[in-house]
Amino acid sequence: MLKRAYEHKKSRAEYHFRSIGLILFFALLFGGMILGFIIPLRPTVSDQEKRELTKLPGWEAASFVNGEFFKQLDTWYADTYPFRDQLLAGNQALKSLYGIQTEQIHGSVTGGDEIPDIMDGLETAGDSGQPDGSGSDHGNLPGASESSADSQRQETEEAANDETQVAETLGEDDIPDAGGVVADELQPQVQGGVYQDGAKAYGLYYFNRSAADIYIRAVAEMAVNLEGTAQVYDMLVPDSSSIQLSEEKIQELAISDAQKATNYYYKSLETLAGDQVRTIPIYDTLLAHKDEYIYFNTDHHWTALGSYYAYTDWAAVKGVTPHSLDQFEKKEFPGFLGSYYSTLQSEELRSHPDTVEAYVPMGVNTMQFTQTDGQTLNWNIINDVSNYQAGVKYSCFVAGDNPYSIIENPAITDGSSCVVVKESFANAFIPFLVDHYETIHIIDYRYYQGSVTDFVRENQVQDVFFLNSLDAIGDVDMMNRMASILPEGE
Amino acid sequence: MVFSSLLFVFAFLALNLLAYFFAGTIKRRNVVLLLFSLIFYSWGGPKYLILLLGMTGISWFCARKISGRDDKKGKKRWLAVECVLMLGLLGFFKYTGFFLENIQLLTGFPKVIPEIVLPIGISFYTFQLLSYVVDVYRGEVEAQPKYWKLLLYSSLFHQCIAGPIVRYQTVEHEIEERKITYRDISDGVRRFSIGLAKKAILANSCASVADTLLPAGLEGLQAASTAGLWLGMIFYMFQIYLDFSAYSDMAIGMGRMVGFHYLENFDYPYMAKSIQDFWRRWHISLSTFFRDYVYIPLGGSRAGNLLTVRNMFCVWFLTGLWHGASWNYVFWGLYMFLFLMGERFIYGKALKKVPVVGHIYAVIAVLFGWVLFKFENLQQLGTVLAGMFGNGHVWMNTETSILFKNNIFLLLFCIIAVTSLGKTFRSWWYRRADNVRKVPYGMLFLDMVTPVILLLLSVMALVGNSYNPFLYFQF
Repeated sequence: MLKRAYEHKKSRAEYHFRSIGLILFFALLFGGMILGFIIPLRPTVSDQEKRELTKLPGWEAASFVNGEFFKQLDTWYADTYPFRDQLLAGNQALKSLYGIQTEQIHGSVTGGDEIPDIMDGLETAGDSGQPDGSGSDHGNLPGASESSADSQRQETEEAANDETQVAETLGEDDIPDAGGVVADELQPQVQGGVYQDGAKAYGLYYFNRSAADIYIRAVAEMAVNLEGTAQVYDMLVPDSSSIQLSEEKIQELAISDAQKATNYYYKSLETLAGDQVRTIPIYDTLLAHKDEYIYFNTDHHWTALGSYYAYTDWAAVKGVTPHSLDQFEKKEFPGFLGSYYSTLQSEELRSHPDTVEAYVPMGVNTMQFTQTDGQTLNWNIINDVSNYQAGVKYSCFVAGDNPYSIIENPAITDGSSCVVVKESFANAFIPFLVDHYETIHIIDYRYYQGSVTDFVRENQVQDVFFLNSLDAIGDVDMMNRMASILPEGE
Repeated sequence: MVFSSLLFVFAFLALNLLAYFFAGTIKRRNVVLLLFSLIFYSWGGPKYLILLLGMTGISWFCARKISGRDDKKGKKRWLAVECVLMLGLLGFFKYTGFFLENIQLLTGFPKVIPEIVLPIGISFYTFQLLSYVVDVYRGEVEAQPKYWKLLLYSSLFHQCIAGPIVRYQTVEHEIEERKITYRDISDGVRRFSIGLAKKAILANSCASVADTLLPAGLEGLQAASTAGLWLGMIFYMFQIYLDFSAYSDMAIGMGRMVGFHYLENFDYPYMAKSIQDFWRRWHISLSTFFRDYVYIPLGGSRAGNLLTVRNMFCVWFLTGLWHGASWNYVFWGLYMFLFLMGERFIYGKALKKVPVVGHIYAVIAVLFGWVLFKFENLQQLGTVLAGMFGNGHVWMNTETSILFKNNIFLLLFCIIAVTSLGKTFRSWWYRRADNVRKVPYGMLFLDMVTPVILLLLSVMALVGNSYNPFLYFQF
């Protein structure tokens, strides 16, 4: 080609290509601008991340002057941008190209506190080999407990208020196709780090001694207080990491020994409250079934199957005969992507979703729950969540997490009743309890307002059942909140 | 506001460009730019706008006075007024706390150190205004008669907050008159989208790895593995360059879109073959500022070795201090000074003979420089430096090896991104096309789709990343 002809052809081609490039770029830029101005398109909740998105800030002169208003506006604009979840998924796909991501860690490997055999100041009682001490032993709660619990109570009051507000803002209207139950499930529930190996993730359990001691004191104190009124049971559930990871990995990730931690709780409780607290050891049972589907892969909870094994242990301690699994009607809800998925947003997890299996109680499948806003709703104990979003399917059990719920079983008329003091781990377990009590009260200590001791007395409840995950009760703020609602009200 | 936010890209910039192109005349366009710049600056809290307006006012006035005087003495007097006021204000807002802390450490007084918030961008626009007035004094530029036009120069949102430090002479004529060709817009768009992606995707991702490996607080650093500290510092090294140069890319790109031609601020600094070479390639607008307004006025290198050393010491002490009011920045500046001394007087010539060694030497020296730069807390600094050489830290742990595997392609990509490989490839392709006289459709197509793809990827990253630190804001 002649040089002139070539130059001409090239500059024409360049002009066309550049012009089209500019049109494409500005189409996206101005398209994005228009989209950003269409407020109704903006989401308020993210299913991918299971959280409520930022709200448009209120106009205040002070926040305007110091720049706070604009900062919040910035966050709001990006956080609630239309098609957020789709854009997020795109970004996740891009990030999966960063490296070999079959194994992942989210958060830091910090290691837990050292786990002693028993709480400080209780050695003598423990060594003397009299865990079921006489009545006078009960009064020997460590002196610090009263005053410190009081001061902690005030601190937690504020924290608890904040929490309620968060829960309140998540009204049922926010999630049109999921109902009010889901709201509480939207709060991030993974506390520490998360470790992912292939298509399964594990929470990193780190023992926290201060939190443990608050829990032990509060539960023991309440048990002693209720002597002659009600019997207290305590079941602590380990994370999947403790049961299903290899010894080697547990060491590498500096995960605390969950069995040792459970012993610390149980031994201290028994020493402080004697017979008033009956502890339910489930660690070895779960370990014996470690290769079964007893924990979810994409979520931090155990499955109904895992909780069923623990239920047989409960029955042994309680002295009743457990029902066998095949007596129940089984339901399956596939396509569950739980909290670990929200945290890691990993492609590997996304392509291997969990199936939530649920067993419908024999006597009754209806219940009633009270939301944080005081509204009471009727619901199913095992609710059909087939059409719910992928992230919230664990809420098929007992309507998810609510301050207070009640289940009345017409098939039983012996007047038996219990209160379950719990966080979300108990949800998969409670359906198995239904066929053993006439009335089951469920109190979620994170949202309940009022005194649990008063509640037990007023309703003449016979059994108080603490069913908690070791991980959840390792949080000092949560435990202060719990310690504040257990004792008698003023 | 930061460039790498969705609100900036989709609301501020988009509206600004629309208003700009509909404004018509150059005067109206300048007004549009000024108004948008003032809003942009007010975003971090409108009260500091007064400071920007005031400092620009002082500089405008002093420059007018200087150009109005015929006598050298009178000119000098007004230059002194300008310097005292500008440096005084910069010193007050940036260094009062640091200064008093050190006095307190030595004498016990004062008891209470006032908390002074650093106004955004003050380090950058103070230097811009100073350079303007000095240039007027030197007769290199005319004093700007209109205050608002000088304000446009000092507050222009492209560069006001995080550089580059644009000299008034660079834009003197373009403020009055500028032509925009489709080529300019196209180049500007390309440059802007590369900068945005560099920041929103690469720099933020590097930051997140670096922050996991180099956790805040002494305890976390003590527990880190040696390999983790190295890997964390390498990611930090990428982060700081990608972050800062991305800001300059975006500034240059946005300038281009409306007809301003700012000078380059970075030239692949991690490809440097010596520390001297590094400083010719890193934050060029700052090094040339110190060269032209400190080093050369002090006599430069023409007054004998002893004075050269003194002059260089001053420059590097100030360079360090400019980056932050803390000793570690000063150490960082002086650390650079030591290498420059070594290169000038001892091993510089030998280094030139083996460029490979020079390159490895420069990269390692710069990496350790960033350790000094990163940790304001001297105890943490010591822990990391010692930990990088073992000192009781485990060599490797699970966390480090997993993070390394998780980000290995990101790491490789960043290594390529900080070199001129992409640029070389692109120009090679175009040159080859010219040689064989075949229109380079492939490359033209790539150039066509690059900006829109990068913009889309950046938007996805910005929606997902609540994590969006910007390092150079503190300076």
